[in-house]
Amino acid sequence: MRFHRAIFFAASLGAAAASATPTFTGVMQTELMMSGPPPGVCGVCHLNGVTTTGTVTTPFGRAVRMNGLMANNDASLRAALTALTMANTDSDGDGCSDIAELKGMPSPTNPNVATDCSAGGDGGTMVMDGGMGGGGAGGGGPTIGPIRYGCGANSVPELMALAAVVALALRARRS
Amino acid sequence: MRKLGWLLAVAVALGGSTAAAFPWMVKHDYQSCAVCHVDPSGAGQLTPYGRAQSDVLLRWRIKKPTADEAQEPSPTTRFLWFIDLPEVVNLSGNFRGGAMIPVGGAPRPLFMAADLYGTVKVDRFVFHASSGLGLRNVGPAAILPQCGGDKPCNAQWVAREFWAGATFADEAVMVRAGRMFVPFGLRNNEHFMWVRDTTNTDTNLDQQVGVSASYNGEKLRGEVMGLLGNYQLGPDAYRERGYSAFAEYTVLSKLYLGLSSLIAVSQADLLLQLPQVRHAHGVTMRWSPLEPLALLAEVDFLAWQQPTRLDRLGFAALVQADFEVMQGLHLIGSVEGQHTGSQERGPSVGGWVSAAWYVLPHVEVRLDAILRRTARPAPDPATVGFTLLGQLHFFL
Repeated sequence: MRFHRAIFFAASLGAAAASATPTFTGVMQTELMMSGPPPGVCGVCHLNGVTTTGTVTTPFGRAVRMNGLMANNDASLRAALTALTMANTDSDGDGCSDIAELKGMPSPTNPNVATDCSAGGDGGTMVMDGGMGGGGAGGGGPTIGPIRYGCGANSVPELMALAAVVALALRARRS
Repeated sequence: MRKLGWLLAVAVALGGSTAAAFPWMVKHDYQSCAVCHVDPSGAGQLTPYGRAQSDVLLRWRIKKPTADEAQEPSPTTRFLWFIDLPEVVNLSGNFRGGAMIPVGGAPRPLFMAADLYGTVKVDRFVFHASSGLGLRNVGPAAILPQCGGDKPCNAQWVAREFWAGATFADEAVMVRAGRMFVPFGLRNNEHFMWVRDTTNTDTNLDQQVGVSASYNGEKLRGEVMGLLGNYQLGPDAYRERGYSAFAEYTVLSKLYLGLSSLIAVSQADLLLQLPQVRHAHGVTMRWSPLEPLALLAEVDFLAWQQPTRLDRLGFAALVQADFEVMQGLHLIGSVEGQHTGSQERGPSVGGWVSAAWYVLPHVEVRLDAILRRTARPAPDPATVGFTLLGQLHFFL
């Protein structure tokens, strides 16, 4: 809700609001000494590359989140990448760690998509267990769907609670 | 009915602020909000007494009224100007529209609020609800149709408040349950000022379901609310639970100091979907050093915690001066600041110059000139925006 309002007022008042942190791909390139931007660029973390609220839900995106990624905080991304390196996290469960896939030469492979990464990798660490959401410190946890508003988002309990209060009040008045 | 239809047409044509609250009423010796508002902590629907006082104290008069006239509310203070309602029923409406004119950009019509209020008071029991139409970005208060995700929240049936309560101790205490305004800070009606926006406590969209107890005594007033979440959004992981509270004490005549505190826990924040504990703790001041002048101030300390670390620290602050040039015409100057702890280069700062003219019974015309320097996370430079906001407000 806050985010939607931020967009509205940023647009209205001339400020530029962004839902993705634009510096993150550059930080990844520098930190991992990658030959180019990560596969899918924003899509490496944001589902389908859509950089709106609640889309940091790719397996790799969840892994960096669970390792402390904070929006607009480059240091938190560096720390998260270090944690993934230490844990040999393999978000897509293809046997190569996320970091190895991203650092892969001549071109990085997508840490969200299981591929035969060993062919092109530069010696990435093989992991034998873990898999999506379960590798080392990288477990991203269950995906939470995008926020929804309105009756379908479950307004029944509050109405029932209010009805109960009204009923109790009326009953107290009668007695 | 023709008049109502005309008003509705105008409101729709003008096409989000809503409930009005006037913390500057301290200049008229009103510390407590409960005498004039159905909500004991202020904002939203007026009581019949509040309706009368709005006419006596707020409405602009061409000629200075005589002493008798100054005390006597006009018969037009009734619902829809002239309708007498039974004592147990209180009906009213709130229609606000206008235009936002960013410098260098195209004017943008705004449909801010079109809400109807209803309150039934039987003995000590009070039942209150509001409902209306909302356009754009009203998701958190939406009933139907469902929106969010890939469905934009463009036109929604909204319900901002619905609660039931009971009064005790000669109406000094009220216990309520339902969907209510969150008790925190100054309940100012510039709902997107940073003190309201960053604390998620504005009166437009930040109502929560919960249980509250409020007290309005001679020198002390306050409210504590247990937050159970906003059930008009989902999945449940996004809902915030915790508490919010404020208390305000009369230090001297027309000088009031307050404390506010809020801690809310959610299983997922909106950006990273990580569990979060959100803190807001602040102080407020309302002071009327001279008859026509009211000074308001609020400073809030903000913190966002994730499960294993302190995520961010920030603040939001507001200083506002309201000068009543003549009855019904207010000039308002505001300075605000905020830092959200997201690697911005320094705080964001803003200044508002506003004029509010209560030109006719139930009618307010307002103009705000807003200059804001919004700090962005490095390496982005800060942005500066200047906007004119014109509003026409009918309260039935």
